[in-house]
Amino acid sequence: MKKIRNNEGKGYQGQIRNYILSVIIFLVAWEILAESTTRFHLMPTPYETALALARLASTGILFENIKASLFRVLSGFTIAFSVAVPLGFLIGWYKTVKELSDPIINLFRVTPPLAFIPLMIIYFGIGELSKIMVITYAAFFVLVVIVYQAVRNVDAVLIKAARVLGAKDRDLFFHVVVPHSVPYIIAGCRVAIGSSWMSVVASELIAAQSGLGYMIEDALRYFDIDVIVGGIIVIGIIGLIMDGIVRYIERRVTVWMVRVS
Amino acid sequence: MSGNVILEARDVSKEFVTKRGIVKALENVNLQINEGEFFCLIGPSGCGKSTLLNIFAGLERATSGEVLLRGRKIEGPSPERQVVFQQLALFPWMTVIDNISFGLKLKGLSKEERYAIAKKYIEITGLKGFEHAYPKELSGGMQQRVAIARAYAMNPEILLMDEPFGALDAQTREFLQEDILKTWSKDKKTVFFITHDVEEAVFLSTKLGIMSSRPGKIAATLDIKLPIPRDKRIKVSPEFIEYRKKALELLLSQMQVTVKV
Repeated sequence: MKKIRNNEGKGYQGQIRNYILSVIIFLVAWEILAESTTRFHLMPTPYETALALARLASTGILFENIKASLFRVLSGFTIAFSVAVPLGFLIGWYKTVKELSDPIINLFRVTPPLAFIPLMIIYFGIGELSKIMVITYAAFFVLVVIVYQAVRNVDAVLIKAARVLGAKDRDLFFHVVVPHSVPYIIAGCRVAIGSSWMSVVASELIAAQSGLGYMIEDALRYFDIDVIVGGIIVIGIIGLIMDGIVRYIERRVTVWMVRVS
Repeated sequence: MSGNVILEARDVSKEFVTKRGIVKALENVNLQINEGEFFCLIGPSGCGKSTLLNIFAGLERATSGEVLLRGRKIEGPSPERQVVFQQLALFPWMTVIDNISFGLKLKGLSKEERYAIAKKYIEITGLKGFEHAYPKELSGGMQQRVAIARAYAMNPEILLMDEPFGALDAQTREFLQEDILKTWSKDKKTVFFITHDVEEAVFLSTKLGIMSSRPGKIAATLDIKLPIPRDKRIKVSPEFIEYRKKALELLLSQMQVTVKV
């Protein structure tokens, strides 16, 4: 017993060590690349990038832009979530609704959200709304599809067991279908937030007055490559943090799940 | 036994429409189960045993004929007929105690009331200490105990068991066989039990039914007049061996009929 514990501890420490190693290797490779191309001034060193970010942070510009991007992602995602989840349940529960909506959903599911940016600009201008709509779109179809597939995935024997125990349709829905779907919905949120984050940056690159995408786009005008690279890093880190938060919630909510690692 | 008929099948037939045509699963099944009986049904695999049980449960409909519980026609699933399935059919998001009391919750019992009943069956089925465990934390045998406790907690007229130990290892099986006999001896709740294991059938039952190959019919019945209570030592007694031989011969004769045809 003790031996197993020790091994586990070692494994965990080893994992952390490897993670740190991975970051160090990345930074070193970056440093080498930057130093070797320094006369072209195409790639800032990690230090220069950090300096640029510190400068932007000290004036508050960085946080303004992060706030703008996050606001758009969260608004778009919230709208998508509140429409997609009920709709997904509806599609999964009623066969007719599924058959009616399937072709349309499948068409839009494979259409990238970025293709809608020009249309959104025509409809909603270059203000907040056009960006939020693009994000809503990006998150919406991922969630709808995952929710309705979750509903259709419920183990038939659980439905039978619930019926025998006296469950009516309503009970089946709230006591079997919904709890069964929760882990799928959370997994869907992870994907949806990821694609929302990618879409917000893209739409800010095209037309915006604020946001991390705008910050990069603006830096391009002055060929401020330090800020461009710094912006990319910040976008990545925020994406990682959001993903981490959803994963944390996932672990908390689905303690009952059998996890295969 | 008291001789009161509790469950009666009258000319029950069942046909399935498949791609290759109509398959007759059951043909004119006539069967009477008396109150307090432990009725085991054995038959070659694919003979329609489970189909018959599902019809008793109200989960499937007979193509023709009818099934009566205390003279009332069975139209659908009801808490008065509880099923223990071969597959593990616990709700993975509910703890043991919540699984057992789920049907009572649907009946509208308060938390205290249903937990009190659930605790009684947790005690009987030897699940004490596991009240708040999730199914994933339990072995297959333990999960089946929970399923049995869940069925008993509903205080049904009859328990329908569809090869409940079929997926378990031999040792766990023997344990559970003894346990279920013990539970049955306490309140003499009528049990209809399906198995393909002749020894299990003879050990458990007060009456045995042998089903023919597809289309399934009740080919013979056999009263098992072994003393009650029983424990596994009875399996080496001459009476037991005699019954087992008789049951096996009846079963084999059914299988030979199909081989000849």
